[in-house]
Amino acid sequence: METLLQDVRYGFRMLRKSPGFTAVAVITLALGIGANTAMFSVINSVLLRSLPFPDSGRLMVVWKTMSNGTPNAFSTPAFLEMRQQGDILAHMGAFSNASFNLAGKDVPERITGGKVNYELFSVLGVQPVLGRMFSAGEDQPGAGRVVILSHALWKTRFASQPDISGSTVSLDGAPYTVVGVMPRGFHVLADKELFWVPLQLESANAQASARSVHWLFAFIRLAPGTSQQQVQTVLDTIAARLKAQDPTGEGGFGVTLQSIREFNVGNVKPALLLLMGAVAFVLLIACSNVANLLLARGTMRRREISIRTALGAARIRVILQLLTESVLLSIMGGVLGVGLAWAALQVLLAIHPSSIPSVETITIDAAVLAYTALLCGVVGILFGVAPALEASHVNVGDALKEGTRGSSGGFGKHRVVLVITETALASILLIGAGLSLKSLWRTENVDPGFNPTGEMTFRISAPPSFAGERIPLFYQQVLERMRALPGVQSAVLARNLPMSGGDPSMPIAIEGTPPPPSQIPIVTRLRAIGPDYFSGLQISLLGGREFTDHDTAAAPKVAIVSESLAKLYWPKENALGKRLKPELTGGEWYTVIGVAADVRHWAADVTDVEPTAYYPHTQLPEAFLPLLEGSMSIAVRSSNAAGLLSSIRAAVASVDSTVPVYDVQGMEEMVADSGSLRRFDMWLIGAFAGLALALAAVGVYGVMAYSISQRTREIGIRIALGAQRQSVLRLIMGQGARLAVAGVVVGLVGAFALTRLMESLLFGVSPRDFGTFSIVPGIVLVMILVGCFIPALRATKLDPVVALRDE
Amino acid sequence: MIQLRNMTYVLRRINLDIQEGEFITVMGPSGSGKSTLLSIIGMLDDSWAGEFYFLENEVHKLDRKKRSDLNRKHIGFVFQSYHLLDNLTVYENLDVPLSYRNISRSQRASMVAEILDRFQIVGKKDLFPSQLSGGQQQLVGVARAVVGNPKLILADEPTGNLHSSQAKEIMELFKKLNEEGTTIIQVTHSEVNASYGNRTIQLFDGWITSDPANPQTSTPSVVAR
Repeated sequence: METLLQDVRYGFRMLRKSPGFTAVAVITLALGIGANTAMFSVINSVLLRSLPFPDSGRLMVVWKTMSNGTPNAFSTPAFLEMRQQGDILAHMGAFSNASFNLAGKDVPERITGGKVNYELFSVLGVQPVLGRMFSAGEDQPGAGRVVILSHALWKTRFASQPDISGSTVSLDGAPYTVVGVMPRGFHVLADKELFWVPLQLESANAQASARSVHWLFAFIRLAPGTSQQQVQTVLDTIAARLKAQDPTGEGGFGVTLQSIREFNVGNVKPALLLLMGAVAFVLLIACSNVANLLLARGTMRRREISIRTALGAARIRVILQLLTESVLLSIMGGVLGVGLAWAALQVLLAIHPSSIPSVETITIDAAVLAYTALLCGVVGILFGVAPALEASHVNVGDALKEGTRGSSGGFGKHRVVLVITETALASILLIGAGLSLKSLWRTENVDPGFNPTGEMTFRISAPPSFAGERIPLFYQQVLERMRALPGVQSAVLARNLPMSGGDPSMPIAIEGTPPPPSQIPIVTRLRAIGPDYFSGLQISLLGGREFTDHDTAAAPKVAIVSESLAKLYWPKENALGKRLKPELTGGEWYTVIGVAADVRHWAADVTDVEPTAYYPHTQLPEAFLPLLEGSMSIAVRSSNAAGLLSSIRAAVASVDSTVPVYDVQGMEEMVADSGSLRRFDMWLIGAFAGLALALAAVGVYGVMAYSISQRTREIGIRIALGAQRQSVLRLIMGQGARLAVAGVVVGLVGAFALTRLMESLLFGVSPRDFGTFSIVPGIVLVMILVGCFIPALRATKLDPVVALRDE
Repeated sequence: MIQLRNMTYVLRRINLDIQEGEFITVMGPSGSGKSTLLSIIGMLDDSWAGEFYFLENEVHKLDRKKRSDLNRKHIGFVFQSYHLLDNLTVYENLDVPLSYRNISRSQRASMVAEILDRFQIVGKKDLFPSQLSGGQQQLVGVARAVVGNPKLILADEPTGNLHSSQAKEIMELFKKLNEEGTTIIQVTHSEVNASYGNRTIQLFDGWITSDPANPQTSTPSVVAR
């Protein structure tokens, strides 16, 4: 310990005596460690930090396996049937999104939350901080209305009243008794949840839900000591039993388990891990640079190390002292790096894409600091060990002889390996960045199939007291008021507008087409829309007409199909006049009256568009309406969309003053948001690649400058013997170029192997895109040669007399 | 104390016996192998063949680590260019060789304090080498060689960079140390310095051409011409 303290003291002194070297090394390391700390902060918050459930590793989301093998949420009948199978499924928790108008202000506030069954909170293992959970009786049809509040809602709307339990709140105009308040940060699926009410699955309304409406998220908790695989095997056995009982029943398709963490972060995990890989590369390049600096410094410290050896220092002692210095450097780099990471996170939080979950919780906490501390130790040893080994390997006798010169010529094998390594790493990163950039460019140039320019969107819900024809009438009135607003060019209505949420996937029957022998139904996306939807959103109508105000519930049932659906089922025929039927309770035959161009509904960067059938929202079966018309989206196009909001609110209030306008968003913003994760990835990987390239070029510059300083005498002799300046330049540049080419070749091979890991993150670009693999090596070579050029130019200006005196 | 038998490689069939308490001077022209001989005796140089006995130890049979242990325990070095560590104070420079031995901190402090006092450099203990004159630096260099109470001091042209009065002071110091029992081997070009010793060995092209303790020393004709 005493020896360590002594080494630390001497180490600090040595670093203080070489402020230039120390500053360069610390800044280089700070960039590498800072990038890693920032990325780990993101990974820690998004992927690693525990979820708001105790022992969340044992919590599983249960997916109903569809006939085509894809996982989906449960329909009510499927959930009840599966729960009857007993075993672990008997206590399956269920959750469905819900939203209500919360009274209390002039205009009620629309709040989102969830409907949960009695078992769910037990499965999640969370207790209210105030009051109690739901009782079994409260989850039964006809039970009184009760609600549990989120901590956030309790705090903001009810001033954290300690006696809130037992009081009444008005949701959708009905009184609900508050029975409890959940802990801070608790949510089931989304952190926007502000309340939970009993699901009452056995109620008539829920029972009426069609088998094809998949709206329930199911959860189970694995017993201690039981693995996901073991439970999956049990579930597969149940599915096999159901299949034996009813070969055509959907129970036979079984269920699939997914950990709740995977469910929450599965979509961003590959991108975050890729970025973590990118910053690891940056750190390795920084380490290579500092290792090179230390190698050069080791040569200059030969005398000191020789003296220590002559005075009795064992080699291991010298190595430990040098490693202490390198760890000190990495700790200093780490401290500065944490500062840089903090600054980077502020930028990241300002520009983060909405698709990253828990992004607001990203912070540098104790876990991140522990990671950085560990990283500093590992990094200090990583970049210090080769220089320490080389520096400690001295011939004491030679080194202490008077007038001994440093070695001359060449780079030394360690330096060659380091330069090739960092050039290769920079090449790989830059190729990754190139692929991302090209992918982003392709995304930005994809035609989404509609025109978002000038579209302002919002959601409204018909008053809860409305039923039957009053609901479509209400939406029609709102739409008319919108269209009458000054400057408005169009106003359209849909259950979900493009980029604004998921519509159910719905099996359909095609008239004249027998069901496929495999019993796999034809599944299409079901969209409920209002009149003039296609002209309003400027979606091309390829044939037929669009819906009008005359397509009412009483009118003949009509549908419009997307181009991809028409091509799929009527490839050589005109789809107009053909009939299809959504497979849901009360489903009827709908005549195709129009074919519309495909729309990229979820995001622009999806490769496959979904075959879609559009139906007038007025003509869907009544049983479907409670689910479908809980809320509707409206898009209003005007030349001044931003200034329109107050007029929109006033217009809605003029129809019904109790109806809140919510989820207000510009459609261009929504389109931008849909690609934000890709854009975010691209900018980050681009920044890391740029940093890597700059570090690599600086590294090569350092090695060349050092090499030339060691060869001053040789170059002086060459010039004295008549070498032209150009030949000296050629000599130095040639050496640099050979290293650069070797690094780039290794980098290309590495990139060829590694970029396939990016495949799922790319759009419209092959992970081995020829253009990217051709251009990037050229950029790297140019940058590296620029790094060589400055010291090479300096070498050509050597005065041979001065150079030879250097001896 | 030291026996070299048929030591070859850079050196040529060197046979040399050194008794405890001797003050040996090694002389010869540049490139004759003086410093190499010193490095071999100091166990810093492993590039040799032959037999080497040091204080009952068969050095030729020892591995590098054991040779380092012997060096650390029994040998002190003094260099022409002092070779003090620039970034350490005088006190710390004296502490360095002790820190490589298994000596407690308090004992080290006591040993360094004693040597500072003995060499009358207490007032300079917090100065860095660059703040000392050449003579003062070499004084510290000798103090550093002595601080671990070595049985043998190897001095490679210890006064080469000093003017005559400083050189005299250092040589008087060596003489005193020798009189106190420390064996000293110095390499020098100076006849004056050689006169402080009691035996002078001449080297030429790696051969011992003259050793008063071994008048039979064979010298190849090509060397002796």
